[in-house]
Amino acid sequence: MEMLGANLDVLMARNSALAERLASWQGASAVIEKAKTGGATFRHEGRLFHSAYSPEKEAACQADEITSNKIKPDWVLLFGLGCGHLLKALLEKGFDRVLVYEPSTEIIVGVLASVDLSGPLASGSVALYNDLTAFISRIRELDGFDTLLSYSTLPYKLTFAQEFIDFNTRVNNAHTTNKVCIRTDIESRENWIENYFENVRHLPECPPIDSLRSAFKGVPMIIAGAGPSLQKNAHLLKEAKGKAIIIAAITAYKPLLKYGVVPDFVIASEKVDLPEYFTYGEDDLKTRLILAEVAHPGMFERKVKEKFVFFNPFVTLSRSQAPLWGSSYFPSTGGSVTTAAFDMAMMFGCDPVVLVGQDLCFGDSGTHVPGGVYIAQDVKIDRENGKVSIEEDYVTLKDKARSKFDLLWLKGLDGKPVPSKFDWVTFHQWFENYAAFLKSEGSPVRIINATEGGAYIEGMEHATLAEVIEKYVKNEVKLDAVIAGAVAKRAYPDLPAIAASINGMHKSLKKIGRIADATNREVSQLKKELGREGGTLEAGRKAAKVKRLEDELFKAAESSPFIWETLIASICELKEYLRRDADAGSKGIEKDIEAIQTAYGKLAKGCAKFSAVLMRAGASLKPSGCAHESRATEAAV
Amino acid sequence: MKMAQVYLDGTRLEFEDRENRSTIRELIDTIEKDLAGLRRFVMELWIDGEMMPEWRGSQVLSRPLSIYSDFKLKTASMEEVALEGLDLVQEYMKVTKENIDACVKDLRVGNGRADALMSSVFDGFIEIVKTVDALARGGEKYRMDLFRENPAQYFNPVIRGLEELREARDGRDSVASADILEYELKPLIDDMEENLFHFYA
Repeated sequence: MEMLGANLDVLMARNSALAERLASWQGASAVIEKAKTGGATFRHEGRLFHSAYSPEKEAACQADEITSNKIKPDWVLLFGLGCGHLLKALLEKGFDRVLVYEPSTEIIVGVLASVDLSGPLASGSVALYNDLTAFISRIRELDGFDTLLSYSTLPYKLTFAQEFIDFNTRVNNAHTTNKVCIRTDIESRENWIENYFENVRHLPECPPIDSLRSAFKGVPMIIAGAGPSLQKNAHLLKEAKGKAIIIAAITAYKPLLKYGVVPDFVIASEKVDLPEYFTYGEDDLKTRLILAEVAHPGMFERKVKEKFVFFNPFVTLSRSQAPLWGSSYFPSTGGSVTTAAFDMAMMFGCDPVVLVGQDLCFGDSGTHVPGGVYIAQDVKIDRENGKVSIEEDYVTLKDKARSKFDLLWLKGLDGKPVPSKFDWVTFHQWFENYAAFLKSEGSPVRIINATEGGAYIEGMEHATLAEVIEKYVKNEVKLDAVIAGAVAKRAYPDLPAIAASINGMHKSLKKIGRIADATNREVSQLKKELGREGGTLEAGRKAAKVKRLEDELFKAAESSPFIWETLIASICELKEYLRRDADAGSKGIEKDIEAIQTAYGKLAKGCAKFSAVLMRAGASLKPSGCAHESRATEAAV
Repeated sequence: MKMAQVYLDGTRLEFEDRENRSTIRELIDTIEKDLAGLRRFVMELWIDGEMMPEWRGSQVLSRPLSIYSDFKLKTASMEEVALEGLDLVQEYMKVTKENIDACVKDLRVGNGRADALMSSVFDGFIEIVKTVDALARGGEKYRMDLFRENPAQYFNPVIRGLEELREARDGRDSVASADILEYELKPLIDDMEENLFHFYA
């Protein structure tokens, strides 16, 4: 047991949950045998897992196969630790970004009790997992730009065939969502920040959602998504009205109205305005909006009963500004408003928390429940090529909208795979991770998926909505009174501090813009010097100056991290260019210089654009006379 | 009536086709009987200008002579035949070892071609054993010293190894299959190559 102890000591530093679980393992463990070379091997289910002659040579052959790939992977994901021969072989080749998932606890315990893996397990970025959900969480932390290579030896593939398919599907889903999230992030961040500054004028009237913290202890919450299955049980929500809090994703708002249900809250965070989701009638005035701070300013202008705001944890600007608005809550979110609502339910103290219309897959009638903004949908699933194409009539569009996605798969409620796409898969992963987290924390809150179709969510109880209502939805909730009481006690925003913060950011932004301009000028001159005969020496001086300016720019940006976030698109393009360059060989110094010029040119333009946005935001917080003066200054600028 | 013309190494022979019912096999047997004393064999058979590949043991031998116009037979000495057999068996060994290497690699790294390659390895061993056995018996019969040691000593280990390989393959034990190929069967071929032959053909 000494060997196991030594291995677990090392494992503790990188995956303490696994180390603790293995230390208390009481089950069987694999019997390790000696190969002819003295190396370790074992049989599992009658099958040999490493060579009985030379497992080291065998592993070297496998490592060669992995590293001889034309495209060098940034990470190798091993399905199966075995006796660690392949891990060691990869480390010997200098490859230390290896994540290992071992599907069998029996094998992992047997191996760690007999083979010294303390060195390999402490090397580089090596990490070992025995819990697929934790492994997938780690994958979700990887850079979406990174290339992943999933590898398994034949004995593992044959012995754990179903687990291997599940592993690959989930890794693929996780990495696809990573890539898509980067794209979404890059595409959205500028809009989010711009929206936030435009929303500054509305926020003083919108209490932060954490004003309702612990206000609904033990009250059931039903979160309605707009999945196709909502039509099966939406009518039952009428029975729950007044006895449970009903919160609808904005896409589910109008469909619920068709079933005579006005949700207590509607949650939205879209960066674009969505006027078509509202009725502009009595129903709007009966519901409350929960809006993200980065939602489109138009959403803050909708006439509803009340508006609450929440701040996103993934926007540095929000994290730094939220306390000034009187909020200390940043919902954990998986990319959809229903995931944010789920976390809010926990913050409110609700129990049970129930999902409906959360299909997370394509249904027979399309992507959404009828009655919303999609008038007709034609979904074509091409299983052979792994694509889904959607043609739909949208309520505000004259022509049909067309979109195409990679086809991904999730486990359905009946255990059979259901067709899905990247965003739903992301939400699904989030729900499963959240459920696992609640379980690990020993949370007593019952979380129930009452969606009557679509994907199975591991870690949640599955029941029909009728069963949930019968069992849990019984007592009347005095919603208006509770909300009014909680809001009355809210912390009010510190407007002078917010104005000062915006002013400080404005100054930093102008400085960064100036440095970016100067960098670009130096880069242009560097390019000229390189083209001139005998210009190498001067080019060297210019390059050093560019480096100095870049350092200065990074330093200035450190004081305003939101700027880097906001203008990340230009930096990402440069990163992508450099990456392609590394893969395909340099395209020449001139091309490299052009890429740098483009990046810093965009950065300078972005700074100029946001300078005006910040001025407007600052002005909106000043008394009206000053605001007028400020607008005049802005016009002059 | 038209008579089939028979040429042996370019020389025309008289062959009596009784009632036009003689078969090609009878022609070859008669000729090889005559050639035995000269330690020669019929190596090639051409019928109506077309060379017959793989003619020994084929259906073509049971056909009547009378339906063809001419037969050309080419002979080789016993030594030439033996040399060709040795060349063939060494070629089989070389190819089988290459197939073993490729199959082992595929089994170790988990590529999908391993099954096809393993079938080739089985076929290769069967051909090696068959050819070596035929050469050994021929050598004994015609008193030719073809091998440095008795090749039969390798037959049982090969058969045992192939049997183990079959079991490992049927049990989908890729590691055991690769081990048997790499560490049991391939060394047997190496041993045969090293110990059996007086020289390399």
